[in-house]
Amino acid sequence: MPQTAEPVVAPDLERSDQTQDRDALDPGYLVVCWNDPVNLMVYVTHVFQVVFGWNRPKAEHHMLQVHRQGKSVLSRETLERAEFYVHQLQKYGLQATMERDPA
Amino acid sequence: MKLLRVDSDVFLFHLGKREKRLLLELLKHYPLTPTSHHRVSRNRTDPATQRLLQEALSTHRETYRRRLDMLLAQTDRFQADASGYRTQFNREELEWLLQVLNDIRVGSWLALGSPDPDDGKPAQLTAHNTRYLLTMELAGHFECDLLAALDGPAG
Repeated sequence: MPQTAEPVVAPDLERSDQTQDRDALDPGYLVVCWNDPVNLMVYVTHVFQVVFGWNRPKAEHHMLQVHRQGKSVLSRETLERAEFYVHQLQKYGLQATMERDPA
Repeated sequence: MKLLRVDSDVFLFHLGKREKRLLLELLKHYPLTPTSHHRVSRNRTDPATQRLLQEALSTHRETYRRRLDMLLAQTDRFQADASGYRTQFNREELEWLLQVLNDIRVGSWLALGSPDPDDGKPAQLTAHNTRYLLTMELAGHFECDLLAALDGPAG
């Protein structure tokens, strides 16, 4: 049975001096989907399931919120994650934006 | 566009002859929605971020347009049978087609003046844009077929 050789180079455990911008770590961005009369309800439900990995009841809940209340807050994220989700939703043609959480 | 069966994430469809012709004609309209339709935020205006978003969307569309051209050039993609054609797509291709079809649907809707019949705003039909009523409805029809295949009949 082959033996594992001792590592000759110690792993680099030095702490990184890089710091992330405080704003980038702040989960204070809301991903919002807005109502429009063109995107089909079944389509919006499907997109929520695909983009966020939600089950159908949760996706339908948010779709109905969009439909009845004009918008739905889908997620609260860091700036980078919010941008990612907004881009994914817009690729599907949904009216999605990210808004600074006033709270 | 009727789903015949699903095998290991490969979806086999049947299309009538006319239906296939309509689908291919419809796909030629992509992209139809202007990138300016999408905004990063409704509350604040950040031109740099907005520009980045539009660049990302433009790049995305160019990739999809090239992929669509390849699809339309594949003569063996549709196999003729007695009553039309059989074609198959995997799940990832169906998600891609959904995005393409919805872009055509939204772009058609914008070309019709963003009608909202529930809000008393009918389509502003002119000799120039009437064709978009057809592309909008056709895109929605094919989207429903693909969604039924992916998510089941209830959508």
